[in-house]
Amino acid sequence: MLEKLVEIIEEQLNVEGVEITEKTDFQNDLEADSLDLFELSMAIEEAFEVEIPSEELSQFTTVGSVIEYLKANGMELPGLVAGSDVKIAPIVSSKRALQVILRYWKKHYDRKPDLVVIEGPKAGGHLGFSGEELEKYETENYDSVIEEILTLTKPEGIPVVVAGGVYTRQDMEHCLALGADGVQLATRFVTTYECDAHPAYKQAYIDAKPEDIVIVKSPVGMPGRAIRNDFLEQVEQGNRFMKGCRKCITTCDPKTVPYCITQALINAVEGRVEEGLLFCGSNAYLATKLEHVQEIMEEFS
Amino acid sequence: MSTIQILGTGSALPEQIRTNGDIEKLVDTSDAWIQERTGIKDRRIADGAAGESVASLAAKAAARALENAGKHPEEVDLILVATCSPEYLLPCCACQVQAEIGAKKAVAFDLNAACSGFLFGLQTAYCYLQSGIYKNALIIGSEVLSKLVDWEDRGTCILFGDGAGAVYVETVEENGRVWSMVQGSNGAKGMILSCKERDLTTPTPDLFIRMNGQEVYKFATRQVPLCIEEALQQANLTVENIDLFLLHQANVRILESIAHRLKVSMEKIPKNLETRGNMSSAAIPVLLDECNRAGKLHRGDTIVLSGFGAGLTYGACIMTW
Repeated sequence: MLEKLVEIIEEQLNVEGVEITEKTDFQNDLEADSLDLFELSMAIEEAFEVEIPSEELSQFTTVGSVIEYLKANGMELPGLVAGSDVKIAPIVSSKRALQVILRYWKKHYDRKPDLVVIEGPKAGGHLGFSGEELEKYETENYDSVIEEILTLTKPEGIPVVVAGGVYTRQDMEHCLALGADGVQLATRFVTTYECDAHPAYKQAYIDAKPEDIVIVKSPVGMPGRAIRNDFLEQVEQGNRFMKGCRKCITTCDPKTVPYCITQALINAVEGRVEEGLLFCGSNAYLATKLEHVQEIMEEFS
Repeated sequence: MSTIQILGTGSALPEQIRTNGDIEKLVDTSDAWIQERTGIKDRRIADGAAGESVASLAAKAAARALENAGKHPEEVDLILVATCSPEYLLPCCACQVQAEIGAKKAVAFDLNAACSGFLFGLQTAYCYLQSGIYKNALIIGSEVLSKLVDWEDRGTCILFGDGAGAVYVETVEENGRVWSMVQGSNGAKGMILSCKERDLTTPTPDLFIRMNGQEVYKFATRQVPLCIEEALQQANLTVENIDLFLLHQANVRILESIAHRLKVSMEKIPKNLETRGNMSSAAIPVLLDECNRAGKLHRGDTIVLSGFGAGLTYGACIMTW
């Protein structure tokens, strides 16, 4: 993919005689401004037959970040599992996203997803929506989007699992009534005895009130949902918590981000909750006590 | 074979110049930023108190085009004014021009296709002339966009300027002349560049130009090369056969991108937006007049005109100068 990308970059940004690697920075190394990047994204859209929403352009800092983006969007997934019997299931949040994947996979790999996960705006952690969309869906019903996506999967016979904000049996029944084949729960299982997270992390869920659950902008450039705590307040005030870089994701710039997301998530799991990023689904505040996995499974069966 | 020929051009610009430096005082922006992203340094802004208006600028440009063609106003059959910023909804601007220049015999009406307006006007005139209904026409693009611009919106207020341009065309019987035309509209994407008028349902409407710049940029840089290529194909020509590409002047980066996609040197794409800004329907005829008077157009040259803008609308035409 790098080779094809380098070709597009050379052509689009008019660069010659500069070695382009994954580390090449568009702004600093190639002197590209925002319009150049926009032009580049248009050329990538045409070459890779993808659609890049303009609000995602800010993620494109280096050549590597573009590759990461294309991979993260699952475009090359069938190539990675070719020849094996591994099943592939893209996670999408809009009809358009699935449309692009279906079209690209069909053309380049003649393959369709084995399963599609629809992750709605009430999910925890990183979300596939812009901040504006999240605000919109807080008042607007996401059901119509699920129904739209189902119009693509039903004729193809692709099973669909709905995720994001499914907490009770009633939530599951609602999703199944819409036409989903299954649901995915995460937040509900955090507050179980069997969950291997630190007790302090589980307690943070139990203590959380609805107003404590907020949308934060993660260092990787996407919005995410988490529990407001001392750590987030300090970040808001401009404090930085960077100690060494794990080089985990190329869209992150260790020179400018306020904290290391990997470290913040490890802190949370290991119980240093006041120094951690406490990702959670929008219903986390519903937990009032620890329960057993068996009880939850009984409720849902 | 009969076709049409531009026999005269004219333009009229307001006196007042508004520089990027002037705009720095209104919104948070800078001269360097504006120049880098748009290629614009300054633009003309109409002064209503001095009598500068869409109608008066249009009439001036029209009179100059007639003078350039050596024609008398009373000979004019058809007056088309392309504008989206008239002073009056009634009467139409073309009738005001008719009265102002004394073109008593002419039929006059306006059309609005935003930045493609002048091109669509020229193409409409071609159809009238080709069918034999009229023998000649005045086509004018005139705008005072400064009154539609939100001078607190730094995304749009840096882009636009006021002015008017006009051409006088006649039917000619002459073999070997080129004419091809392409037009298109995409109303489904209309709201990416809009300006609302009063209506019955909105008590205090936002009456300024609103634009999703990136979507417009994408539309222009993808659609314009396509429609120029289609017009070339129709005329059985290639880009090498074209002497000049007179394109709507919206943004120098759009012009460069179009040049890149068509594989045409920027030398063949004249521009005036540096000192004019985007004058919507007036952009192409003013550019034509400036090229004409600067001696850049020679009889027998093959030229491309292409416009694109709100609607969305777009089009191209190829003609022998």
